[in-house]
Amino acid sequence: MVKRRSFKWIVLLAAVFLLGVASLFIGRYPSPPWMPPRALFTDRLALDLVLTLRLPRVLAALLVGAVLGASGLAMQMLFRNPLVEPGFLGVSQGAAFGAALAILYFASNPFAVQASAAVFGLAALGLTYLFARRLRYGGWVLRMVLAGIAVSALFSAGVGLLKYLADPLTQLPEIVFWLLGGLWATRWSALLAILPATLLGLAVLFLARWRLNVLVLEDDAAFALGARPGRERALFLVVSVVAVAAAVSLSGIVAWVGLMIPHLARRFYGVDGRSSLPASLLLGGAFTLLCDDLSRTITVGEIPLGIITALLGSLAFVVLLASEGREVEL
Amino acid sequence: MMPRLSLRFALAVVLAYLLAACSLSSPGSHSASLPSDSAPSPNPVQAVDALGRVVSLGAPPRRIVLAGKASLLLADALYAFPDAPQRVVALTKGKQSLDFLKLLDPDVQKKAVLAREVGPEQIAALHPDLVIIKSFLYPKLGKSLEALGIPVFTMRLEAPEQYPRELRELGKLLGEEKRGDALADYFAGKMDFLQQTLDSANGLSKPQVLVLRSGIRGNRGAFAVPPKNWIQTRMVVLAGGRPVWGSVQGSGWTPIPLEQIAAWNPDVIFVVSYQRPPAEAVKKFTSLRLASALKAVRDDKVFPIPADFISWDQPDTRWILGAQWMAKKMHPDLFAPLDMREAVSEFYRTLYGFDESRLKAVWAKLGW
Amino acid sequence: MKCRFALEAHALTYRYPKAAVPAVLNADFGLSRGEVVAVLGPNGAGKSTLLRLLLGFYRPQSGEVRLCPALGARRKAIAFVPQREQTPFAFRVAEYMLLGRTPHLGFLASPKPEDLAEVALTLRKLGIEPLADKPITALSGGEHQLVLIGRALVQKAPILLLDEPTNHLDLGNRYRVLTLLRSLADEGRAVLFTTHDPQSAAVIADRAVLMKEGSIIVDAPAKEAISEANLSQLYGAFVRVESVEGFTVVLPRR
Repeated sequence: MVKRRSFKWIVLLAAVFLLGVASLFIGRYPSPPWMPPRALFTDRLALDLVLTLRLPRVLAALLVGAVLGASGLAMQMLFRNPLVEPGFLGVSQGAAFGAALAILYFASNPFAVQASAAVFGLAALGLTYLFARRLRYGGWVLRMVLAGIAVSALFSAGVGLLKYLADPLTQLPEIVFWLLGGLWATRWSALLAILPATLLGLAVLFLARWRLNVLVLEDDAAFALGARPGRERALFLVVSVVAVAAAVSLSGIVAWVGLMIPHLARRFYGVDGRSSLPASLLLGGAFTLLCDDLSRTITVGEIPLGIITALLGSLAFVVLLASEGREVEL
Repeated sequence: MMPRLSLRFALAVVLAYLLAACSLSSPGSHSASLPSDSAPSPNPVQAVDALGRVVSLGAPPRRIVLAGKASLLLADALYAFPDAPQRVVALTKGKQSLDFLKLLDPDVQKKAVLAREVGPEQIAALHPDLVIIKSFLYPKLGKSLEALGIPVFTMRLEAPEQYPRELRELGKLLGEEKRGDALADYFAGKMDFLQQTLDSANGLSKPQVLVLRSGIRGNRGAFAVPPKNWIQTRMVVLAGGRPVWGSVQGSGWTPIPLEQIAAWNPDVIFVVSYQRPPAEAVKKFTSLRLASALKAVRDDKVFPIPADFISWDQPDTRWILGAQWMAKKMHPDLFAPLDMREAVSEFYRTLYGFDESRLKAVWAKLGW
Repeated sequence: MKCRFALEAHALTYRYPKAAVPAVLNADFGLSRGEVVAVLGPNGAGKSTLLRLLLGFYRPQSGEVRLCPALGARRKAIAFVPQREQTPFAFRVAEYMLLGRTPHLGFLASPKPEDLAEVALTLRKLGIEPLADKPITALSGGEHQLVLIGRALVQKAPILLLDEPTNHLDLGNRYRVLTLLRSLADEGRAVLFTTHDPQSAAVIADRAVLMKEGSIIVDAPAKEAISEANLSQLYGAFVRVESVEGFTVVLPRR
């Protein structure tokens, strides 16, 4: 029994590692779909390409995917709802608004975009919380959902306004590309800039993989087990949101990863956070990397990453749900 | 059970990657010139681009790629230099047709391979020794290319004063300084000519001018004005007019309600249309009920902006023709000696070396 | 230092936010190790609220809840069994019971082998070992209740608070659970459970606390507390209380 379980993890880790290495050779240089490894030694440009463009991009895809997967799972457990994703509660639209603002008024400085996305993502979360407290309808999960929809709409309108004010030649395409997600401009500096927030977030969520189980229980039961449900939920939510905001400030909005990957992880690695969280982390990274490989290889131009993750992610999601053996209460 | 060391292990892998990368990569350290495949011109060249960056090459470029959004219009400036067909290896497809460039470079169709959203890898696969991009693409695409050691030269060519300067610098970079100077002088000369002619008339009354575009995507029936800082506005000022739409916010073609046009009641209206013949657009406008009340319509001063291969209001070399034409329309007496046919001939002769037979294609497009 | 009570309440008053009247008014009583106390009353009497006050989940506006210091931290001293739990995630029974070990873990720690051993022990003790790998969503009512109690047992807390543990169980399971609670108390735990069914109380309780509209109206040994007069006052229904072979039996009055 133990042997079989470690085997599953070894397979996953090996798969992620191999995919990462293989991705370094996938692309349109010198011609699609891939470059023979020998080229690293003969072609100076190929070596530069791999080290300065592809390597940070591969790592970024793994990192962004890991953050989205882990945060997605954490949020689904914190909200006791398997249809929640990191972009939930207005966080996604808030981060989009913040990024668009930085693109317009801070000349797309990567640090400014990241900070702005994080600030407005958290602000959206805070607004949703404040708004939910004023609602008098339903349990707190339902209230947060309703408030989240309203706050999302608010920031979405804000993004629309910024799109109108943006220069259609220079800024608007950047905003649109950001909204659809893409890693094509990733360089080492951008990747290093988001490392602190994302790695810290991943570390905290990884350590909290057991605690998330406890927070799935009702507040009184969790309290009886020694948790401070309100505070702990808030802590992990904030950590998730900050990590997600940092990640999406680099990649733009990448949909469906945070929603679908946790389901996939739970299906094959169990519901217990101790296994589903690390699985979400690894599967999220692998899936996003795979989609990014496709986005830079299939056509001459770069397809926005978010489009591919949405396509494959929604497909996978439908398949997962349809093949669910037993009923799930929502 | 989940191996306890997994997190540490993962971090170690990441660190190993990073250390390996940092020690191996040295962006842009190798020389900027790649072996060229034609007659050696060993003179190093240097120029200042639109962002003020100094770009140096070991030799004039022989494999130029025009990459990214909106770069197609830059081709018209690049092809004003000799050997352009031999130097350009790839272009980015744009909204404009390639009919004009085909006259200068029969292989241009094969070269127009890049998509607007092109990534650095695709460009690198062409092994360029110079990539020309619009300046707004520098932070992302430009820096990525530089990290690979590929020289990048940014251009704008969006405002009148940029033309003399940027053409001169482009000439320096291509090793064609004399040509660059000649082109710069042509543009500067024409601009001076317009300015001096306007200055010479005492007490000149500058008409109120409106530039309208019809047929914008998603709003076919509406008429739109360009943003303040676009070349259309600058052209009107240069040609001795007063643009009325200065108060309009919005950074693309902004649809304007007819009441606003009536409120402005401009003296002259220039109509531009990219999809349909501009004359049609003029008819569509003047046939509106509200239009008959406008001064410009009554005075018969609604003019379609001419278009040969490309409309004369675009940020393309032809804007100088558009400006001269506008000046003549707004101040017919003052600019009586200006002969537009002669101006067009001079333009194509000077920039592209067109002779009479080639000019026929231009007259055909213009319908003159 | 020996306390008289493991857990006691003094003049507890609690009102829900924005509520007109307090849910619990001036509650005063104590719970000792080795005894089973039943809190009896109609729906809305405040039983569940009282339970959560004792748990420390609600903070009373006045009065206090005192836990004997010798028993250590609250989370290790008091185990709580809710009435029913619904989760959208299908944990396995063994994982679910393992949650009971959380009070003994650090904030970001994960369970260790000794915690797993504790769960295995409890599964065996409750006779539900075959259920270990079953998802909790696939359990019957009785099995579910046993698992919840198992989670509380794994906590190894001396005090057990249960919210309507037999409410929705069929006859067989009801007595199974009640018998288990009795044995747990006999092993030295303090067991308190709420119920609206006097018969359940009568079967195992040493003491009964009767609550009506937020106030404790009776606090006495079970045989005394569960009387015709008290029950009529409590429920406004006419009942008979008989003694059959030493067991108290509650019947409707004809």
